[in-house]
Amino acid sequence: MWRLTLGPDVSAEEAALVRRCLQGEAEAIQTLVDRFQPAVYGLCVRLLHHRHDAEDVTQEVMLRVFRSLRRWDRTRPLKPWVMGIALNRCRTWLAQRARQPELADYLQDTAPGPGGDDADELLSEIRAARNRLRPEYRIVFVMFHEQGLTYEDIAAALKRPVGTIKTWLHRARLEVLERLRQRGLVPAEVEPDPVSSPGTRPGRRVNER
Amino acid sequence: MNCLESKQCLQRQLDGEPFDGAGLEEHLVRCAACRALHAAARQLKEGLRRLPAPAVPAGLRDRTVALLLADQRARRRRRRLLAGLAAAAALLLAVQVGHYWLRLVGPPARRPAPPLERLAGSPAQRPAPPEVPELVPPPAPLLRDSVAEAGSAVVRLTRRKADETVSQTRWLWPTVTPPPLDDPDILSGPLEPPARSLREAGQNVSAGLEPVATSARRAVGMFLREVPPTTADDRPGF
Repeated sequence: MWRLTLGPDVSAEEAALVRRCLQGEAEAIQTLVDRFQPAVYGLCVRLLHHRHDAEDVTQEVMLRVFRSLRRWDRTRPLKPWVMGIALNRCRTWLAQRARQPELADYLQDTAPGPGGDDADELLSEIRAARNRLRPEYRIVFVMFHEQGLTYEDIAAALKRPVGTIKTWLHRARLEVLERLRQRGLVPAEVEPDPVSSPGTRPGRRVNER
Repeated sequence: MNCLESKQCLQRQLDGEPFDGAGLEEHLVRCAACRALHAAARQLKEGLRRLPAPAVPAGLRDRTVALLLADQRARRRRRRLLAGLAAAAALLLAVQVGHYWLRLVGPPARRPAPPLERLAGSPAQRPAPPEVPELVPPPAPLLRDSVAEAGSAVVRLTRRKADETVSQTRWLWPTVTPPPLDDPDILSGPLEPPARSLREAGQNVSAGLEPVATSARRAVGMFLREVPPTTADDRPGF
């Protein structure tokens, strides 16, 4: 029968949820969807840049997760495993889409407002900078800064060493920062503002384009 | 602090980890590039904090749950179907093995009849007689037995007719019995013509053997009527 062996990071509640899903409890299945589908959908939208594709891939990912619950390594947390499946499906989808004619309705998460205030401009530039990153950098950037995964979780999802993940993320950040600087969202010359004491002085956003 | 250490501080800051900022402020005063980089990092942190998570479309959750439940039902049906097929296959295999085994060992031996002393025991122990007598179909006549019976019939008929012929032939015996040699009249009297005697003897023999030949023909006719038509399958057992 189903033996439960918990790892150091796996909560008993997570394992119990998986066990109930395997027993076919509808309520547990709903809980599983509620817990992981938003993160999966967010990752899909950010990597695929297409809402309809993201919906399809999200449903496919959840179906694969549900069918593969018996193969889940109970010594590891559940979320990185789910996100790893989502990541693989997004990669496959992107590879398939690259062989097809490009669609015209790629989305922008939030279209800039009519006047385009500073905040919206900053967000748009961050998205644009993120989307210009090479795929592995973009994946790591999204998973860390937008999905809230740790280095270890990302390494587990990507099946890469933690050091590699750190290197990719650091390079991705520098590229994004450089783009923000080039786009004029950061003044070329700012007063010294040590980040060690961020509370002593509010960050100044200078938009001098 | 140099530019490399400044960037390490920046990465740790973006990681959300504590870092030692001693000397960083002095370096940022002197290095415009690092100063701009740190300012951009602050912008990035602020932007990421405000970056909205993509809203899950309405109905996606219900559609996904319905999809998972339907998939679960389909998998259960498939498992039941496979289990049924496996059971049917196992049953068929068992029947085949049993049939093959019976062909190997032959029909089961008939149980021997209980001894008479057991049957003659107490009435309670005596087995009840069968209500319906067992109908044993008569065995089919074998070709070998039919031929033997026909042969014996031919022998019996031939022997009987031969006996009759011998007895009739004996009636002729006195007519051909030679007279005693010590009778002087025999030698002195005239002899019958030999041709007449031989003709009469032949007629007598022919009349005596005719029933034998008739009987033999009848016996052979009976034999031929009794013999069933032979087929290729009957030859090995002949």
